[in-house]
Amino acid sequence: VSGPPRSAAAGAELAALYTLMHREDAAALAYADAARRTGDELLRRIARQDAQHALALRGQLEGLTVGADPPPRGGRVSDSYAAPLAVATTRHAALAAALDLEEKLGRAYSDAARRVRDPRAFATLSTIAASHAQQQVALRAALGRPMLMSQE
Amino acid sequence: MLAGCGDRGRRPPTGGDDALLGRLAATEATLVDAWAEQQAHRDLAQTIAGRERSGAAALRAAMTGGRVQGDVARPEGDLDALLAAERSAAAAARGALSALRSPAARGAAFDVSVAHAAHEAAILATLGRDPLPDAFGGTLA
Repeated sequence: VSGPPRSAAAGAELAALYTLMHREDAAALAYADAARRTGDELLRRIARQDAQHALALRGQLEGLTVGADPPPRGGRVSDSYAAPLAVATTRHAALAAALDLEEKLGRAYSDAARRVRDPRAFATLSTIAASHAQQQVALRAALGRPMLMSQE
Repeated sequence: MLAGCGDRGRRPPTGGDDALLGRLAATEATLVDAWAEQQAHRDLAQTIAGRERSGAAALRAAMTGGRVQGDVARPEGDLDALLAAERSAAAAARGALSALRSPAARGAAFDVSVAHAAHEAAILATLGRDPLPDAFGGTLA
């Protein structure tokens, strides 16, 4: 979708949202693969939630009158965050890869919050990041680890 | 569109970023005290108290002046009361995002809002409830 010329700052903001959207697409696909392979219900639930995140970000971008591409083919294995989950062969390996993915996504959202300036994006970013934080808690519990990382 | 149209958020609050951060930091301090007094679930309480302390420090570090002050009622009672306080604190931090101007201030408030969502999940799991209330951190309820 074409539109008026955008500043470099606006372009960087859009790039941040695009990157997060494609990471969510890849994560949803990787979780779905891992859930099919392991039969794990938590992985299946998170696959659905991450697909909802991607949809929300796609809607955010379309609301900004820019096109939002469909999920890239093969994103589950080409995305460096999602790939280990997509190829995990055991439930434990999948949960560990999922936790690593969630921690990386959490940092990516935290970074984006410092770069995105449009107030309309904050609600979307903050509620999706909240979901990823809760997914981390559930995954840590499933792995038998403390649910919360100590920050002191 | 993302940029170039003048004022992009709400009108700046009185006191600017520091006033908003000061109120959020005051909430964190209140929650530190509330969790420190929690006698049941000591491991969870100590962990969350430590995380709240870190959140308050991050908010203070993002301030350029001003004071940590706010009229925050300390939650009294069981985990359900603390769960409600965590949800309220998360909503306050999320609500501040569109009014905060500096990226550092916004980042600190963002991280604190996310930390509260994690606390909510841990409390829900401890209470035997679903730690994943919905795909948006429990904000759809």
